Amino acid sequence: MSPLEPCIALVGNPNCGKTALFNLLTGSRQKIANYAGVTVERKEGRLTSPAGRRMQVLDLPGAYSLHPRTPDEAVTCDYILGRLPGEVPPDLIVAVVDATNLSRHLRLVVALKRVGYPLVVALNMSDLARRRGVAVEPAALAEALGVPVVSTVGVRRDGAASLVEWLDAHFSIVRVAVERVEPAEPDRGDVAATANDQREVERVLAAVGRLDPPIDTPSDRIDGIVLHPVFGPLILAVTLFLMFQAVFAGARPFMEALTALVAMVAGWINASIAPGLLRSLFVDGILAGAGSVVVFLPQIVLLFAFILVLEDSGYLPRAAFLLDRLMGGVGLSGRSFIPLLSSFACAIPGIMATRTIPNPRDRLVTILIAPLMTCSARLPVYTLLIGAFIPNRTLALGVGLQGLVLFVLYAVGLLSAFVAAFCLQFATGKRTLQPLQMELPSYHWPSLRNLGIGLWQRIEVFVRRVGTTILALMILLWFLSSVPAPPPGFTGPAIEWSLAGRLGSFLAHVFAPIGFNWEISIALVPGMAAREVAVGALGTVYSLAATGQDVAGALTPIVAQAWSLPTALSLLAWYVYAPQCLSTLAVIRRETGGWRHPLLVAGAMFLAAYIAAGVTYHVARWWLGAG
Amino acid sequence: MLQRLIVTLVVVVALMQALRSLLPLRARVAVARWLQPRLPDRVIVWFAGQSACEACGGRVKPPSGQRTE
Repeated sequence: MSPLEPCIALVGNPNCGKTALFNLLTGSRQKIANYAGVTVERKEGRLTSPAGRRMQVLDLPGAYSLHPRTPDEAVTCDYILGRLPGEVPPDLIVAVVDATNLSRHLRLVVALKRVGYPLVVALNMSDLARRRGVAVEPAALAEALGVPVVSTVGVRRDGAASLVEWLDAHFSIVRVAVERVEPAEPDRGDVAATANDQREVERVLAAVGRLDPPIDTPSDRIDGIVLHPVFGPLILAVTLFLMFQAVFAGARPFMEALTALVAMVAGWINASIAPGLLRSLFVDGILAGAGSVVVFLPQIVLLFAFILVLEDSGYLPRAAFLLDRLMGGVGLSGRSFIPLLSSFACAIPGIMATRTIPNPRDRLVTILIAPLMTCSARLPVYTLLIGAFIPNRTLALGVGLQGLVLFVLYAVGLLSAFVAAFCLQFATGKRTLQPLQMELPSYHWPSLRNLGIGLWQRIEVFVRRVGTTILALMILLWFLSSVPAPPPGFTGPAIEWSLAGRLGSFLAHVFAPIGFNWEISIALVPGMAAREVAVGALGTVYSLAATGQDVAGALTPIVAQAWSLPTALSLLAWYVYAPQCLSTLAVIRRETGGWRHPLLVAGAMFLAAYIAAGVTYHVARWWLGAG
Repeated sequence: MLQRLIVTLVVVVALMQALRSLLPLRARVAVARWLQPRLPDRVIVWFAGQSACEACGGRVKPPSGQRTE
């Protein structure tokens, strides 16, 4: 950043649309959703106005006041109050407020005015306010507040035009502010100070003739059903159940098409390159390995489409509210629900989202149990095994058996997390009663643009991961599975003589009691980096071990033929618990400030995985009377 | 012979990529320091990312606009 470029900070209450505005201003694609606490760290971008003026734009986590209660609020307050060494304070604050809920959002504006920076208020969601009949004129609000006010609509492509226009027109003011303002300390933050600010807000609202929003909004009517003590939990359970059914059934044709594509490329390489090392590298290493993982992309896209629709519609905070009582029973609050639900996608953003939890004990417990939630990296493993061993049958009411098993696996992960939280109560001390206080945003129709951006980002992450980490590990595994070449007269598959084969045979002694063969044992080693790598590793191992079979196109039938049902169930149980993700352990270290907790998580989860897999294997053998 | 050469190159690049993906920043910087006299600067920048500047004693600058910390 050039030191002469003015710096604009977007500040406001959680879920007022700061990140949507940030994306509009800077052309970024930061994650946005219809609930509080999506942004937990500062993001920076650059705005070039139509007049060619360049400014740096900061998106800060939401804060209700300048007296932080959570780690994410502290980021915002420390930055504004100049408490972060080495950080240049802002030249202008854009206070983003929700135009449908001014009586609460303006309180922060009143506090920001006192700090002394140049300030402009962005009256966001002004379209929604107009539709509800609670809109105020920006000019009238500006006069009553004593600061400039512009209207914005963060979810519309041209929704930030008036703000950019204002910045262009007042650029000289912003430039003058490059001579930095020393921030004044905020008020004491006690009840009396807050009440004073609220009185000032009421005075402003009275001056602009704004009444409180009507009580019976469409959102309230929907909440009457969705938050009903009986129907609410039922609707939540049915929604999640349908989500997993659809993930399995809807993705099938796309998965089959991708599998056929991978098989076609493998066939073309087989026909074009003479047998030898290079052909083996492409077919057994790259296509059988990375190709086996990439075919699961449709399921991951469908799962995320559902999660994004739930996020964008505003349903997720309601789910947190519904689960508060249940989570209270295991020593957590409903606030932990959203980080845990984020962990369905990936534990890393889930763990980072715990910064919105004010109670340090609740936050620690949520961090420790987040890896038990079923992340999308487990999906390829689950799908492979369910596809191979669970018959594609329809039960009563059109419920698919495969989708039901997937739902049960997710439920087991969730249940295990709750049991772990309950046990951790005794290690971390019983929590003090903390009533859940969270904002329930209005329902929105999910924006197709947000959905498209969110899905594209997930596809990008998945494909990049397959193209970098997974591809690299598959090539290394292929290499270790191909050297040294077996001596003349060796009759078994060459892989058994290789370095990987010998390692697999050694590890098989450790994993034999829980039913794993040497091929699975090898796959678990590169699978330590990330869970889905194990699927690719199985593809490579079986491709090199197979004689004349086209693994690149069809790992599922080979696994179905080679393993017993108890072994498959045992591996499923292993993956419910195994902490096979180095990045998650690294994030736990960063968020807890030491190695003690990530090592505890890794040790406990490996132990749980081994015990669960062993119990599953032996119970299944006993039940089926086979091995 | 050519096949062996291509395969060796692919395996070396895969090894570098795996290290780049899995090693934490500090370890990557240490490896980059060791690699620095042996490999071209461009490879070091790719491998160590924003820490390339530090890894190479300030000789290799990070791509413009990136921070060095």
